[in-house]
Amino acid sequence: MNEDDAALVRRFKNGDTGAFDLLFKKYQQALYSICYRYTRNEDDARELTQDIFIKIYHNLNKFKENCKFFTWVYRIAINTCISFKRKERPELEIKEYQPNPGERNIILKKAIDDALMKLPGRQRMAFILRHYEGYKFDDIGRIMKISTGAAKANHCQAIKKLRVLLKDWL
Amino acid sequence: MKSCRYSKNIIDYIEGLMPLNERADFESHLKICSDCQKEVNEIKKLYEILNKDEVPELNGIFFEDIRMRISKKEIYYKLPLWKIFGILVPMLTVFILILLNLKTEQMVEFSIPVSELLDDEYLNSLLLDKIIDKKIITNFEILEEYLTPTVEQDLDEMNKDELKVFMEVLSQRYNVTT
Repeated sequence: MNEDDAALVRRFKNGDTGAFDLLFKKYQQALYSICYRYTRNEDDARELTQDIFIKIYHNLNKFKENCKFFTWVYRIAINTCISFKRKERPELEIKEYQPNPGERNIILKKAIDDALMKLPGRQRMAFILRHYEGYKFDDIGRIMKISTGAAKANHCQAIKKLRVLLKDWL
Repeated sequence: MKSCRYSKNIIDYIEGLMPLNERADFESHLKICSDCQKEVNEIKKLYEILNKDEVPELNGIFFEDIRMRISKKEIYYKLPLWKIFGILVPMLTVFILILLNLKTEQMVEFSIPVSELLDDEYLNSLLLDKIIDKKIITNFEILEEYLTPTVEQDLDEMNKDELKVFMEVLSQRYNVTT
């Protein structure tokens, strides 16, 4: 367990709620990024980030120091993301546009959104943790409670599918 | 199309996870295999595209607001519905079972005039001796409707012990506590 995190968790368990504020600040951006990359929607990402921090706060006293704190935090985050039911929102219609170079980025973003959202939850999460968060496969396995091999397989499958889904951009 | 035997290692190569000796081997292969070259280029391009994807900036007020509200317990953990049911349903089941159990174990109060239940003197005596309870009498009354005259006659001819055995057989068969 990261020493700073461990000390902060112990301080929180001893009644120092200020320690939670420090943990919050440390993980806020990373957790929001995961939520956004997973949901591809800012409103959903905000809602999920809030839910994740509420769960962390509620369960922090029960956290046993038998795994790294970040593993525990990320596990809460990915479980919350994977069980999240996306709200129906109207699709942005862009097919009619004749894109200029600036708009091309918007269309690419939409293509990435669509491609990532077509991946199964676990493959998407393994890909996000590896590609965007830079975690090693054994850490991803621990976070997702799967083997290192399974984490790697999920990531590979995600890349294979993304290659097909984004083939027009390659 | 038959895929190249190296193709399954391409992601490891691009991500820098391939051991050095294999890497040199793969790079030699890459010079001569157009399929692998194409695949490496495509995956590199894919990574390039995906790296352009940025998370929108969030102002600090959003995080500050959540942090304050959590610390002040203005927002708190709500148990998901499935968890609430997961706790409530077993609790309710246990509660109902306890209630049912208490009810079945309740003994008959013998202040009820036995003669009103049945006229049979043997049964009355069994009741008075607390060998059987009200429930078995009730069951017996229900069964009585189905008894043939022959069985009724047989019952009349039974002595106290025979009747007791008969009642035990009945109670076992219909799962009634005596």
